[in-house]
Amino acid sequence: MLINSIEISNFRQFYGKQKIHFSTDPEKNITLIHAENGVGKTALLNAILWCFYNKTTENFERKKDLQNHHAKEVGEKGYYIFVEFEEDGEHFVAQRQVSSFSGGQQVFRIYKILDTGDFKEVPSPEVFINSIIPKDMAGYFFFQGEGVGTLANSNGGDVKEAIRDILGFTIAEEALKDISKVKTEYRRELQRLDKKSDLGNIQEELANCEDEIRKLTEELEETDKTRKFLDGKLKAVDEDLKNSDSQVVSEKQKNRETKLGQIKQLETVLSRALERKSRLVGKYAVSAFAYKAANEGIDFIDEKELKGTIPAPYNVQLVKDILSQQECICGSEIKHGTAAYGKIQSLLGKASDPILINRVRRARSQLTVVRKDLQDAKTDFADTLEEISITEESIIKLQSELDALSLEIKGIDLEGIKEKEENRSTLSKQLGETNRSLGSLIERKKRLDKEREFLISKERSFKSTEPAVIRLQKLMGFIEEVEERLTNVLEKTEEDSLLLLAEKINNFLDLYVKQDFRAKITKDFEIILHDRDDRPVAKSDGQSLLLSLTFISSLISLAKQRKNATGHILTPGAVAPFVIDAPFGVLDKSYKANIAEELPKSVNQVVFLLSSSHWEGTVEAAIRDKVGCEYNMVLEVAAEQKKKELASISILGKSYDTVRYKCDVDMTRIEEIGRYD
Amino acid sequence: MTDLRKLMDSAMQELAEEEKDPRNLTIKEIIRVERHYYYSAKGSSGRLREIRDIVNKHSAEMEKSDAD
Repeated sequence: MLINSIEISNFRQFYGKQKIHFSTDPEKNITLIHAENGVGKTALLNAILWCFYNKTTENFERKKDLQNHHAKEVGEKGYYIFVEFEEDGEHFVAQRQVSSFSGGQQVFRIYKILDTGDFKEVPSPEVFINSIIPKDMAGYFFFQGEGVGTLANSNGGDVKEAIRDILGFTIAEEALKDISKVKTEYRRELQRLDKKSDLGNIQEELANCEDEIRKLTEELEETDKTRKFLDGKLKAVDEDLKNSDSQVVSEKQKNRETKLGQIKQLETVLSRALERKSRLVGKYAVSAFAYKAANEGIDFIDEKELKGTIPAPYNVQLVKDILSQQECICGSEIKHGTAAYGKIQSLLGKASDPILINRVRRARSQLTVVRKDLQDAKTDFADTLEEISITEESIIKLQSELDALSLEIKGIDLEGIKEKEENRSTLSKQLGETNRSLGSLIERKKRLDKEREFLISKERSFKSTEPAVIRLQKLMGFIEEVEERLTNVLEKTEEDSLLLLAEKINNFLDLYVKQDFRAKITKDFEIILHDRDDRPVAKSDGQSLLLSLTFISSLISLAKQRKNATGHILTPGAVAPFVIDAPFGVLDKSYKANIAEELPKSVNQVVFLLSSSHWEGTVEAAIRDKVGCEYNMVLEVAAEQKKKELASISILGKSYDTVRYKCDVDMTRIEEIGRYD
Repeated sequence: MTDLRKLMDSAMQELAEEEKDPRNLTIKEIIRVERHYYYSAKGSSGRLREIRDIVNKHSAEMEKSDAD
């Protein structure tokens, strides 16, 4: 797909009818759209997503409030987005609109633009647009860049989801969910057929357990979405504070990020120490229980050894020799049947032999090991507990420093800062609560999974002679095989893709990153940077963002290569424009230039939505030759300017307004700067 | 560089090699049903019924071929 143009009418900040043309020239495949924060970059990105899929990005607030407020006030009923695009040489226009003609309902249509200029409606427009760019992949092409740096820092969940989306797993995952539901239906039927038997009871328990697992999984997915949403919002506020015009605010925010980084490292140390403590309990539990017995055992042996009773101070062989030779070691004769013979013979009962001596030695040695173990345990436990205590104290100290920092920021007498910081505190609290709920849901699901496994093993031990039951059991067996086969295909594909994506990321690192780093994607989908000696290295914010953008770019290239993929399970990939909002964030100048230069190489068409902080510096020099179309979004304010400053942006040596006051309407106006294709 | 097409199709080979295996036919048909419902923004009613019919049909085929 190549997008030719977008026409926006009365959608969010955009009042009236406004149009943007996108460059489709392969030599100049970049369209630049300049806009400061809050002017409409995110709204423009969402206009495309809304038009194609009736969806918006996570960070897009008031999702239902799409009509421009001024248009609503003056009685204009309706708003629309038209996107003209081409696919495989044919031209189309996608239209999503809400109007008085449609009774306020949304209408989505796609028309093919014929050579004659006429329009022919495409049947099933949803299916058609999804056959060009599947909606689950769309989020990576029409991309919200703010907070993207967290991808490479995530615990792997987001990376896994992205890979699965781009490889077209969505349909197969839906299929697996439905297969599980059908299995539960079979179980309930089995239970109805075999109500009174143990098998019937197990089926009922299993069906209930699986229902609960499904509900929990849905709850987990929802909670995780909330977590991502809050995390994105928090990152955006952090970014905003860091880029504040006030140096004090910016420094304090940087200081906070350093402390948050330290807490993260300490939490890793703490988690390892807690794991070690659990292992120590396992390792020394037996010794701890046996400690008293071991001490008493050793004392007993020592005492008896001292008294000469264990082992006895004479050897069994010596006694036997005396009896057989009938002569004492002193030379006296000891005849068979005499009292002396009987006394000596009775000594055989207590006499020590090599086996007994060996047993006593071994018992002593084992008991000594137990005693030694416990002495080591004391040291190990003391060291670990001390580490836990020191780490916890350090975390508490850093957290109180963070609280103090937050209070300091709230106290800064600058417009909007206090509100931003209060918003941040609320978001941070909500995120903490969401993470805790997520943790408890994960634990509950683990317990239910174990219970399910246990019930399945019990179920397998029952055999029925009832034909209807046997038939249903066969169906269950069959559907389980289908489920296993499908799961295996997905796991294998996912595993193979990890190597491929790591290779793509490393090709980029080789070209553009100064240090000799390699990226690896672990089986848990974490992207880890390694130095030349294969040691993992901590990523800076800039490196995280760079890795994340490289990862996204690799995904897009993967989707492009999979456009014509055949197969029955995975959805084929797509060739699509890459529209990215706020891409460069914390990247330093050289990285900004490199990534701006590299991204357009991996796709046919790029649209950069940039604020001046992303644009100024090295980016322009790196990509100017590749820019085909360029626009500026101007904030028009109906109010007086008062003490507010005028702002502008310099493009190709010319200054352009980014804000105007005393205008007719509060709105964003899209102005063309140039079309160079 | 890994041969991407080979890699991405390798997951499919498993099914392609035994195309007539009732389990693979079941997977293909279920995916087709899911794709239809997912992208045409239809509701979910009827989807499970269709999947049950597919499973019943191919499970019976499998039983028959095992008996033969």
